[in-house]
Amino acid sequence: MKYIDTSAFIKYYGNPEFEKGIDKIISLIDKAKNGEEILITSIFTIGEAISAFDRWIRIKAISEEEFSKIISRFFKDIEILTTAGGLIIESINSLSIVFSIDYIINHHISINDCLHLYTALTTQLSIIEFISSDEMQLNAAKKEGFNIWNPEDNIDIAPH
Amino acid sequence: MVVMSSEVTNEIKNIIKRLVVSGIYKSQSEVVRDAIRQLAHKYGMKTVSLNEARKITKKASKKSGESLSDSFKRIREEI
Repeated sequence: MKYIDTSAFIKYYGNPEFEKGIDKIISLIDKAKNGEEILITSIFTIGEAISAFDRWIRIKAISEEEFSKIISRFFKDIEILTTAGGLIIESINSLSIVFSIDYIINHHISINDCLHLYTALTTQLSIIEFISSDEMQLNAAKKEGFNIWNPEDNIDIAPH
Repeated sequence: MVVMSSEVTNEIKNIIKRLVVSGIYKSQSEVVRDAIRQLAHKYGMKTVSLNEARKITKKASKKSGESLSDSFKRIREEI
């Protein structure tokens, strides 16, 4: 199983003309939709992804109608993935916040980055790889013992 | 599969339990999946294809000069 951070997951909705590493993420998530790959993420990913789309409304890059279309697609994919067993969504709680503090201090990363890292570290499921395009978060994940993969890297560390 | 490995508020926990015990849902996972469907219904219009969604993000990237990843990075920087 592989942990996927929002920074990597969200690439699925990008466009190849602008998005680095999109082909690798499309391949990964399509496999998960077919049950050939199992991904794990935090429920926080839902909120973070919606925030990224919402920011485009704020800067007037998309209309409200376009926003609705994108997030309807996003929710549909979450439903497809979870129903197929290709995506496991871990919940967070007040303890996740409290225990993340150590990781903020140790790795100097944001609470968002930490919540993902903490979720990956505390899940009872076995994670073989931490996928993200957030370099600081990846460095922290590496220090915590994870194999890491940045889809934006030209060198494909892990076969996908 | 949706894992509810950690706590939610007692109120939500009781609601989920009642929904499962009453037989409306078979499991906690099913409750959460349906909640996501409800959200999709609430915020979604007709679900568009991935190609259509990517056409919108391409247009947005051209207009804003930033990829979706860039937009997301800005969100994390705002924290």
